[in-house]
Amino acid sequence: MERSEIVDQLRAALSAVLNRQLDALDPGLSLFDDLGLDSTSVIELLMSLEDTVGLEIDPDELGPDVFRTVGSLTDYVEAGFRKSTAV
Amino acid sequence: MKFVERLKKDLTGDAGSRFVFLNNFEVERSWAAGEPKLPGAGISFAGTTVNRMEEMGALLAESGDVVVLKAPMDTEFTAYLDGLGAAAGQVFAAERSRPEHTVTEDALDSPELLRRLRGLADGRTFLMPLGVSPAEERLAKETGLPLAGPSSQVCKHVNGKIFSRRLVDRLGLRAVPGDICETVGELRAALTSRLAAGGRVVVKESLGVSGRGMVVVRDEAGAARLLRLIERRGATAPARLVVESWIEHAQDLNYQLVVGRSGQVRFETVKAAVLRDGVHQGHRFPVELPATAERELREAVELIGGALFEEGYHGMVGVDAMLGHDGTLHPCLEINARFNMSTYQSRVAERFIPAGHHAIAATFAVRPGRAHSFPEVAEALGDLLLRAPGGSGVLINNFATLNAAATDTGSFHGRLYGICVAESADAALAVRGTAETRLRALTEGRS
Repeated sequence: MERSEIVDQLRAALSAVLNRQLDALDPGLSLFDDLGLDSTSVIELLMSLEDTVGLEIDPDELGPDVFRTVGSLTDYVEAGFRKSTAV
Repeated sequence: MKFVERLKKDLTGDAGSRFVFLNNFEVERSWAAGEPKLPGAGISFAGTTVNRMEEMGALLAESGDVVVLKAPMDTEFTAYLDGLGAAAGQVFAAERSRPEHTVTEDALDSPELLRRLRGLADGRTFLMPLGVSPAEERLAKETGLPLAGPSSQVCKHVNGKIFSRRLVDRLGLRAVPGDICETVGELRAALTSRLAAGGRVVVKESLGVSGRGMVVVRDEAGAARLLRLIERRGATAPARLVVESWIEHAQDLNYQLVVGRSGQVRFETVKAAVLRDGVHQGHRFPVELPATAERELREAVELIGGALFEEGYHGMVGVDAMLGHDGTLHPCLEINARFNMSTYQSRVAERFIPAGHHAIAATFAVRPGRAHSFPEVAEALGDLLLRAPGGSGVLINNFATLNAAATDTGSFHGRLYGICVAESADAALAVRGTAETRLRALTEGRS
C-alpha cells in the first residue's frame, strides 16, 4: 500500500469517526485541536484503521506523539503496514 | 456566614482560620496513575491550559487567605477584579514554573515560595487543595501547613466510579442500569446484556479524568471492535470499568455538598447543564427542580455525605446526577470528592448574583492568532463586561487560560471563563451568546 493510499484510508476513517466528510487532509493539521478528535473517537479510529489498512495496533503502546498531527499518524500507520507486510 | 467561612468551620472547626488555596485542576490524573485504561485512553496531552485554571482560585479566597499560583496575575486583570471587589486574597506565585506542571508541582520546585508558605504556619493556616494527591501531601510536609482534608489514599478511593456504583446500590438510591467489570473477561457479558436492554451503552474507566477515559458503544459492531482491542490483554487482566445504559434526553445536574470533619453534611448548590443545538453552553443556576426530585436529591445528599464520612472523607463533594424527561431523578452517576467548577463560582455567586437573577457559568473556547491583553478583552466585551455588583453582564473569572498555550508562530487554542449574569435564565443565555460572538470577533481579528 502506497502512502497516498494510506492517507486515503485515514481520511475515510476520520470522516466516519467524526461523522463529517473530509475532502483533503493537510499533514500539518492537529487531530485533536483542528479536527476535533477526542479520546473516545481515538478508539473508534484505531479500530477502523485495523479493518481497512490490515495492521494490528497495540493501543497501549501508543504515545501522544503519534496522534499529534495527520502527518504523524500517517507515519505511524505506514510504518506499521510496512512491518506487517514484511513478516 | 459566607461560603468560605462555612467551609472553614466545617473542615477545620474554626470559621476564622486561614486557607492557602491550591487549585490543582485535574488531580484525577494523579489518582488514575497506574490504573488500567481503555484502549487508546492513555494518550494524554500536556495540560498547559488546564494547569492555568488555577487562577480561578483568586476569586475564592477571602481577605487574609492566600492563593498559590503558577505565575503572578496579569496586572490589568487584577485591576479589573479589584474594581469589582471580586478577589480578596493574597497571591503567592511560584518563582519556577513549567507549563506542563500542576501548581503543586511548581510550588514544590520553588524554594522561595516554599519559604514564604512555611512562614504562614501559625496553627490556624491550612492548605486547601482542589483535591489531595501525593503531591499535595508532599507540599504539606515541606511547608508544615496541615491539609484541610483527608489523605490522598482516601480521596482516590472515594473518587472511583466503581465506588460510586457500589455506594448507590448499598444506599438504595435509584441507579442507572449497569454493571461493574473488574477484569477484561467480564466486559463481553456486560456489554451484551446492556445492548440487549436497548439503546447506547457507555463504558467508563473507574478513575478516568472528567470527560475522558470513556467510550460510547452504539451497537454490537461497536462492542465487537472494543472487545477485539481490549481482549488482547487476556481475560484475567484488570479492567476496572463501569458499563452503563446511556440515559437519553436527560437533564445533567451537578450538586455540591460539604462533609464536615465531624461528619456533619451540608447541601450547597445544584446547577444544570445548558445545551443549545446539542452544544454545551455551561451550567445555569439557580435551578428549580420538581418537588419529588428535590426531596430525593436532598435525601441523597444526606446518605452520600454520611457514607463518605464513614469512608474517612471530609471536604467538598460534587455529584453528577440526571433528571429524566419524566421527572425521574438518578441522584448519583458519579462522585467527585474534591472541589468542582461549581465550588469556584460559590463566592462569586453570593456577591454578584442578586436574588431573582440568573447565571450561566460558561467557558469560551477561542482560537487566537496571537496573545491578547485584558484591556483588549474588556474592549471587545464592551458594555457586557460586568464592572459592578448587581448588574447584568459577564464576569471574567479566569484570564490566564486565554494565552496559556500561546506560541510565537501560528494560532493556538485558548479559553476564557466567565459568569454570565442577567435577570432571567434566557437573558443570561443571551448574554453568553453575545459575549462569545464578541470574543470570537476579537480573537479572529474581526474587531
